[in-house]
Amino acid sequence: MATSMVNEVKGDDSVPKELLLEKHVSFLREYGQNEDNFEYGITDYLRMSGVYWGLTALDLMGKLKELPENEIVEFVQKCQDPESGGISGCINHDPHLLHTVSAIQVLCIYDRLDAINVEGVIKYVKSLQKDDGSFTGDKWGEVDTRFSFCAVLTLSLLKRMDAIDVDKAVEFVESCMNFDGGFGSRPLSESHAGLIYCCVGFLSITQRLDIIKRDTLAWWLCERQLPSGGLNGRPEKLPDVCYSWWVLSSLSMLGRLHWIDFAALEKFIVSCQDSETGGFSDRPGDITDPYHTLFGLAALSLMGNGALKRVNPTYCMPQEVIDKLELKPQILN
Amino acid sequence: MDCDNEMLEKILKKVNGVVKEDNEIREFTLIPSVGKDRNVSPINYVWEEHALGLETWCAGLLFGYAQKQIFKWRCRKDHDTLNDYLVIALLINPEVRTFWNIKRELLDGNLLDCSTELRFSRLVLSWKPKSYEAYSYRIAIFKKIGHAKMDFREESDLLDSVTRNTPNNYHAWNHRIWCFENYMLVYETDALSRELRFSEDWIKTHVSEHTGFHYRQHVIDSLKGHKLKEIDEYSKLVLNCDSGCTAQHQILYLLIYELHKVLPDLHHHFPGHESIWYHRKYVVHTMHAHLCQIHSVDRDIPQFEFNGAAKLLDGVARSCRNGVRCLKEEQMQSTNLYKRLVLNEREFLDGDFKDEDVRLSRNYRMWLRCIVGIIV
Repeated sequence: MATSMVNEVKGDDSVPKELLLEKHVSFLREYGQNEDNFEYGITDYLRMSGVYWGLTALDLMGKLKELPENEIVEFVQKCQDPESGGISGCINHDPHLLHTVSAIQVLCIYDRLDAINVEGVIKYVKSLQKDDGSFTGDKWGEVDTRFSFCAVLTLSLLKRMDAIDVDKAVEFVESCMNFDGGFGSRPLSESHAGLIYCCVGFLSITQRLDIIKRDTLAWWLCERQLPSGGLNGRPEKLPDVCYSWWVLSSLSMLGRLHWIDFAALEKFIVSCQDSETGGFSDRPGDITDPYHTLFGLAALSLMGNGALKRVNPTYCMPQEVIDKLELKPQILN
Repeated sequence: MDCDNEMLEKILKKVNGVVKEDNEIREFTLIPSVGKDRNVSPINYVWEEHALGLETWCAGLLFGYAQKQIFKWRCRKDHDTLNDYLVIALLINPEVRTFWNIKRELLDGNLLDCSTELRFSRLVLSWKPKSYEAYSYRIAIFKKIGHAKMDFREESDLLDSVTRNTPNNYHAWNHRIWCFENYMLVYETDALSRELRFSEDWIKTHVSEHTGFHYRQHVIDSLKGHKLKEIDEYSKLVLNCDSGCTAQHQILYLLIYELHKVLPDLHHHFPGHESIWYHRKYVVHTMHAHLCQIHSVDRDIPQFEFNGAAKLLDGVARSCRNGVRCLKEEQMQSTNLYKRLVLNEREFLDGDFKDEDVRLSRNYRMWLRCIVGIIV
């Protein structure tokens, strides 16, 4: 029995075959307008990341103006904690590095960094680095490679990488590398495509991609592509649109993008659109959300889709924003 | 039922009453209530099963209400009231970091009881077994009470039920690794042998879960720093002799055991599983890396017979005696163990594969050549 096929997803004839940009614009514009929605009602705490997903997706489609800029900037301002300098996911919530990075990405897209206390953000990020170089997500202290990435992503956008001990930070990320070339959330953890993206992105920003076992890792990454064309995040798991981004962007930074079958992946991503509501879901036929919508569009952009703006593989932001900031994250040829 | 604040308070009190009074409460869930009559209580509690359910129609309202109250009560002195709101809000959505943080503040101020909090976070995990926050909170509690006082049987029982019900649960297995590193290896003498047995049983019954394989790989890797009592039993199983080896090399016996006992069984009984092929990669890669790293003159390098073949580590021992402190690639390749490993993989790959294994074996052969540098 070809058992691994059981885990696969087959697109039937009813799934979309074209990119439905207009549908996605209205999906993102209207998302959250219906506050009776149970899921929306209980997800206040990650509103800041939601704004980043929606805004970046709209910008990639050339529709940045669809969302109210001043309202969003004001929201970010209100979420900054005057004491620690960190930014929270929503008003009343505690600051966290995950939301701080989203807020800085949003403000960079709008070119409105002046709206907040930037020195406060730098102080906050600096305060979260531990002696071994790792970062915690907030003052309570769990360590995770995601937070190392968030820290350097934030500081590089603010041009203040000097605020932290970069060498130590690199040492920690290196200690999370596994025999397969991949990375997990902390030392000894299993390799996971999402965390590999964080670590490769971290090394791209710190210009230290040299420590990666390039082909070992690229091999593992390209084995994530399944016969359906979709990519999974770990062996024998289901394909998911968000891994299209994490795997593809990592391969792009490693200069091995051509190890993926673009046509098959594109077909899979396009089949994850909802032709009625708009938006992308994890797999064909599931409920769509802004998170999968951004990563679906970003992956299509990385594969050169002409209807979308070019995306930067390290920052997951439009390339033009990165160019304007004169940032040059490392990319291997 | 008209859901005004008074009504929500009533539901809230009742849920909290159950959570507080039932010391053995084990299960929480939200019950989908499409078309259900809203004039009956949304709480479904089965005492015999220590299980509590809440209808979804009121969950959103209850969460919104509790959230408002939490922000209102956060800075006040009435901690019990605050905690009642936290319990409800976190049961409905355990991913809200801020609410766990408030619990951490209460815990730090000794305003919450650690064992009650362990029970509560377990209840949350019964409903959301992938909650990163709930595992983090448990670790915060163990740090507070001291790792030595952790009840590993309880933790093991929790992880067993969680991992049984949610395949490839990344956070749960990370939690087990944390327990292994911070508790088992530190406070238990038989941790290594027990976890080796446990993980072997686990992978044999969950062949498509790479996460379980990763855990076993981690346990095997831990042999580098700890002596395993049963190493002779393993070496007898594969070599028909005592190992008499040092801790530095005992990992080799385990890897040979893996290559000759565990993997053939798995490949045979469960064809087409990528996770098994990845495990094979780990075993071969680690053996190869270990051979490359041997660099000290070591009288204790095992010189065992292996499936009737010549002495495996002969070459290693010879070069060491010659005073070569660092085995170069070429010398390593002249060792019998290396030759035997290559031969083993060649014979294995020359076998008859069907369906998905045809593709997987082709990928594996290419990986051996391009990544490890073993041409078969």
